[in-house]
Amino acid sequence: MVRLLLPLLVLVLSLVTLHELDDPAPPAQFVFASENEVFTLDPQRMSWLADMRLGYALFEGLTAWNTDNFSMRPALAESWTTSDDGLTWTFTLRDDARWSNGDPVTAHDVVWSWQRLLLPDTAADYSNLLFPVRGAKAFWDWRAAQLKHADEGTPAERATAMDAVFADIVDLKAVNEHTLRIGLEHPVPWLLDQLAFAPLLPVHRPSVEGWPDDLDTSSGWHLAKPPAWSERRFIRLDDSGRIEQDPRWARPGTLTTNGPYVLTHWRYRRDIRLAANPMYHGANDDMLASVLVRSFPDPNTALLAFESGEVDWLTGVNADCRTDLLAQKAAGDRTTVHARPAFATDYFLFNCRDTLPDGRVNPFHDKRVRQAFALGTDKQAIVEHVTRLNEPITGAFTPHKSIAGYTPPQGLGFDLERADALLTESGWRDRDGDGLREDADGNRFPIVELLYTTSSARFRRIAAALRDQWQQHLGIESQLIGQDSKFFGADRRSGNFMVARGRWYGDWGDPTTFLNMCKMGNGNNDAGLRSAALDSLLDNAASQADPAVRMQLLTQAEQLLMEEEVPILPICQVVEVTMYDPAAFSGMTEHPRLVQYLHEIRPLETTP
Amino acid sequence: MRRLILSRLLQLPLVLLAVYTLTFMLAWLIPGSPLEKSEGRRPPVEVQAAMADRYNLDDPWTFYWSYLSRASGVTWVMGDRDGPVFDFGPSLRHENWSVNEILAGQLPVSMTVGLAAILLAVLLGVGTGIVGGMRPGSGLDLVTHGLSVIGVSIPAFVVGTVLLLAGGVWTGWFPVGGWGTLSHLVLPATALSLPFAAYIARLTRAGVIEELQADYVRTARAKGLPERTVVLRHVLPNALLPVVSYLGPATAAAMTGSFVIEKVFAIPGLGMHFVDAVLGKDLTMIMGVVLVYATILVLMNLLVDVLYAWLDPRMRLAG
Repeated sequence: MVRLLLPLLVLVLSLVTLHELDDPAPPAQFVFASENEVFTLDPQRMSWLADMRLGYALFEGLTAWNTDNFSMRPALAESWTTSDDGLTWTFTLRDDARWSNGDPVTAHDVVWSWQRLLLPDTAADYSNLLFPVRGAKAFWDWRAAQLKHADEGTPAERATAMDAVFADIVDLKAVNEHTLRIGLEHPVPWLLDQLAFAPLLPVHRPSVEGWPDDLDTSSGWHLAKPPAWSERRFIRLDDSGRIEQDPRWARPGTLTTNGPYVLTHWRYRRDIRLAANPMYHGANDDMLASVLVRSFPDPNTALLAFESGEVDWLTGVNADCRTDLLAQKAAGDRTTVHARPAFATDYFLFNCRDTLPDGRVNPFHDKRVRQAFALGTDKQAIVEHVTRLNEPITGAFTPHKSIAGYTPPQGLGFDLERADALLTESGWRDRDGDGLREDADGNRFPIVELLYTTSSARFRRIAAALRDQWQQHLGIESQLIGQDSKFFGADRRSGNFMVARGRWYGDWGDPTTFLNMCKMGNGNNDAGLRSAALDSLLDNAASQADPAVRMQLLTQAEQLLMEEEVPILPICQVVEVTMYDPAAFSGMTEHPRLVQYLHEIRPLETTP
Repeated sequence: MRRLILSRLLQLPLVLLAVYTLTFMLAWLIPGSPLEKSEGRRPPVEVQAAMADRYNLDDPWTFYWSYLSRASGVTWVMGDRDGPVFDFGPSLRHENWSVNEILAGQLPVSMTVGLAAILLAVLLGVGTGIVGGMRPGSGLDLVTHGLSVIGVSIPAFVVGTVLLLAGGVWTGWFPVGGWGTLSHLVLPATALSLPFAAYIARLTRAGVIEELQADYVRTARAKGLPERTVVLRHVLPNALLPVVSYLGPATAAAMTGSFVIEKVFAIPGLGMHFVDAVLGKDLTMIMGVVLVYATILVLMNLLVDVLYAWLDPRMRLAG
């Protein structure tokens, strides 16, 4: 008997030991579940909404949004002036801004952080955000070339040379500790909006590089002598002089922040905990004292956790039953679920290239065919019966009512007569009476390959609806090709598709955040559209100083894009479903931009 | 016995090398690059090239050898002691974490759930197995048999969701998902244990039925031993041999994490993230996890062989 019990005893003992090794995070005043995992808390490396939300809690940029209407307000910068031509901006920084370790936040911090964003070494998704700054693109090119030709000087000398070139050619200057000057290549009307955007948040150089602790930076690191490269813990130069960063500086204990919160816990795909930053200039007692971000890989479990009261806010409800929840709300039985149009568009992309990679002729190279497919799509039926979220349908790429002063065009609606005329005009009509279209030689319209990702059922359902509609409305057959996102991404990028799904989130409050995607040479132009007319309209708009004229030019550009070129078939504005109890918390944003500042959330007194 | 242990331990590096090579070839064939996102903005081409260069993603041979050298400890032994002895490198998808850190953080969680589940499964399975085996065909036997069929056939995500609803939302007895206290362990361990318990119950039942026919049982009964002693002291050790040999792979399987259980119960374990690593072509993570899994599997099998010999003296003579 002992023989049998002993292994069990060993099991129990190892179980207890393993369990004792664990260390649960302390409870927090506010708990929310992120729709995605947080990848990084390094602002310059951020590109996901979930990361940026925490970026805004931890760091403070020059400007910030008023989240009710997305107008701009001062943040780290208390005021600014601009020259008459709109090319030179001067920002005055608050003098009471402090890093969480007590160091002052200065203009040098901002300049250094932006140089970091701009360096090819940082490998930032958003490094081209700063290209409108005079000399920034030239600096990028210079550095890329310098790294490629590793022949002269030691790595350290090359890094010093890089700093010198940056100071020399990039028009980004710390005039003094509290004054920052930015010189632009061309006017950027959305500059203030962009300055609030996460990748431009400032970081604390001694923490990022891991300077020795005994080095005194209490009156600003720019006054201290930078330590030798070998003494910086989180950074090293490789043989070519490339700066290799150790991303682990952005962890509890080393992450130094200037925003409303500091990071106290972060465990991989488990939880992140923030606590109010006493050094923050706007710190106050109404703010949430502590915030816990919990990880729920399964959307149904997240919903159950909300229902049981363990979670106060679900940022994105993806459980299949969300349509039922919304129906309950419509019937007045539920107040905790909220559907909000977001700054994003769900669309399908037409391949505009002449041929497909395997040499077949691509029927969608003819823009009349693309127009006809757009006209033959009944979007209202899709949002009513397929997605069942009743998203606002759209013929434009830029979401409606999301940018002040900009009206997107109507685009192509549901019009079968026009669709038929266009297809007939381009040579495709039913010549043998079988209900399918053929060209003059009697060849049937190729079976349309509809590419989508299998990661969520949503796009499969929409793709199936498109297949049925095009068969019924246009007399053209399609084939669904569901792919894992890796395969899908590779095929979409290399143009190996006829029609592919897509979703695009805007970054800054300007239509160019959507329209630039279709420019020639843009890295995200997967449609392969080459439209000189569009590019010249966009370039014209870029050099236009008068904001009203500029917006008109952009409307024209989008009209050309959505009614003439049609590389994109927009379906609807994305609707985000979130859950929180409006009787328990205030300060939740309802604007499509969906930026939620955690420090604006206030617990409401609730009577039990 | 000593020879068995020694030879298994000597085989371990060879097994690991074979596993490493095979996994590397398969993982390298996954299309795309771990550094790119399937949608959203893409970094400039120069940036992607630089990253690929930094992580040796442009050359399979360099990646294979440099990773092997760091992961096997050769680099460390040769004197480059910046990292840990067995250095699996940074995760390519989650740049803020090294694979070693992820393993250190997630594996104990998966192991805790797995061990608890196996423990529960043994108690449940052996208990019902004995009850059924002693009176085959009785009503009680039919009930336990029916339960074990259900245990095997209901998918884990259904069991998991029902447990969460019943134990978490409706009654409020247990937290809904997450990790940290003993009460977090109860629901996932229960859900994970059911299929194992069902299988153990069937093995035990069959073993007990067979052993009860044996001559030594008749002898034991003939010399007047109470039925309890007959079953517990004589029948059970022999009837449980198949269970013990099943426990090795079962424990290894339970401890290395279950994708479904970890996902449904929001447990920060390794099983789910391993699947994500494969989907995201996170090469360093895939290789690191596979090497650790393989080690655990080999060691668990060895442990079972030792345990087996200990339970069955005939094995000791043979060994």
